[in-house]
Amino acid sequence: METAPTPAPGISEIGTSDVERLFREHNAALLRFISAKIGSEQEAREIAQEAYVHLLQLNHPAAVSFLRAFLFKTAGNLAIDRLRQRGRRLHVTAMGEVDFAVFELTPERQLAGEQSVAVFNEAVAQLPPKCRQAFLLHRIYDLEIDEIAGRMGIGACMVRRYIVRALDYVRQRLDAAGDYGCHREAKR
Amino acid sequence: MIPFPDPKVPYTELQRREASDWFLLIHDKADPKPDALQAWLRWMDQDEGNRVAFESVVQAWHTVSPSSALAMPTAEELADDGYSGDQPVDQWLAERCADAGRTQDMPQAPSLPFARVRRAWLAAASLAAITLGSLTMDRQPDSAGSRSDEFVTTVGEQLQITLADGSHVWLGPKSKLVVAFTQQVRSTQLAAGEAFFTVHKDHHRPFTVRSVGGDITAVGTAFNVRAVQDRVTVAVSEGVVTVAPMEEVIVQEPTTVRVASGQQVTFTAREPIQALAITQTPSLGERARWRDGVLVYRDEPLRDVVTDVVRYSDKQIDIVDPAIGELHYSGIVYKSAIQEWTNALPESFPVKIVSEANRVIIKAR
Repeated sequence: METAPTPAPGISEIGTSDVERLFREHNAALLRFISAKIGSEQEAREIAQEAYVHLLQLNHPAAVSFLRAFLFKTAGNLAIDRLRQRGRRLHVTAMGEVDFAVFELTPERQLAGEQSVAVFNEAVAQLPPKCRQAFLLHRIYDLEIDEIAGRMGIGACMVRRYIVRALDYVRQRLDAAGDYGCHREAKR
Repeated sequence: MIPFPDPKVPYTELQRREASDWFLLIHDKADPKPDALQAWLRWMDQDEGNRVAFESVVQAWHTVSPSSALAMPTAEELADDGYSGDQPVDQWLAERCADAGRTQDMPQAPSLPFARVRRAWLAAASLAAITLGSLTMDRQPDSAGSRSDEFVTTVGEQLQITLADGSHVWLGPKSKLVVAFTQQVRSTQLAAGEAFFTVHKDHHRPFTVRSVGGDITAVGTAFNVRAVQDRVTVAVSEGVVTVAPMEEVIVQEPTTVRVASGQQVTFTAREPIQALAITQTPSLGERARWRDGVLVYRDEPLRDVVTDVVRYSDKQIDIVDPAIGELHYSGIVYKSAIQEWTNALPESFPVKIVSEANRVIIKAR
């Protein structure tokens, strides 16, 4: 990250105290929010910091409620950018009726052990077809819910339901394999 | 029957389900509504189980494998899908399993698909799906053997793939590569076309390319594999690979040949491999120039050359006279000038070219 810019005249209008207050009140929530998106607490902290820098660069005075929304939105976008930068490239080739996903993953970026990955893959393979399609389009192909709905010819509500069911099942299978999420911290 | 709830799992099924719901809400948009965020945070703080469930769901979401069977369902599967999302997936699977048990009259106790399969996935590793001589991957969604990745390219398309172990594959047009890694072996299959491999060194996990007619095994090396019909050419530009013939062509004892840097070997499923000479590649990596759209052939049957060239062509090219196909060709074809190449063929061969809208026909003069 670049060094934080020194506040120029227009910037002080927001008031460092507002940002401090925002930080005190919402930092824990913000970190949780980013962690949920990116799956890594370390990276979540980095992103949060970057979001605060963006906030300090705003050159219009604003209400704290606006700042709060801005903070979360910026953090959300930064998280998405970072996920894309992770080197996960995706190409979709139409070969008849089947789509094939091609990944470029750098191995050190893999967050889970081989065992968990195997359980994950197996669980995904068992999902009912439409449920699997919706889940993969969102998780792997990075499509928005609305895009998936359009592509599959079903409602956005149904797409959400499929994805939630899929995710729930994957988690269930990971639990059954003894790979508890709560042990995550201890393992590191 | 269902191995839940497990006392070791620190959250209930309901918490897990709610966590998945919240996760999608939070994750889905860059900008969730403030009251949704508030409600989520309240839910998180309500109960320790909620928080742990949520973090576990996040972890599940981010479990992704670079070499995995994350295949999309086929059109048939989709058409046949009766799942409405009303019930949890495990219930749906259990019911389906029970139905199958009734109709097929299975003697053994019906095993739940999600029974503790940790050891099973290792034993029934995806290698089982690739049987000798079979180049069609059976993708049965419920078979344990479906854990593999397929990379397929269309006409003129090339693909660079970095595999989970750091090995690199450059896949040529109209090619198909199946990757099935386990903890013991790195198994791939070139079912069609051409690929250039740069293999990451790992003595404990051999890297194998199964092709029509035989297996190519490499440890830390760079080589090119091209499959045209049942004829496979392996050219090595770095290190050593061993080539082992298919079981059915082994006459007496299994023989493997070593192909070193600067050498190439061509073999087929029909002939014993030792009958085929290993030759020095006149120019190292000459064959690998296909990656830049330069196709180099040396003394190869015209039918094989045409089969190879067609992978780069938007038009079909047919040799209608089998005798013509047996003529040998040496030369260079540029993928950007395939039509010029076919048009020039009558200069070197006793053929004439007939061009149709989507097809070029090569016939005897």
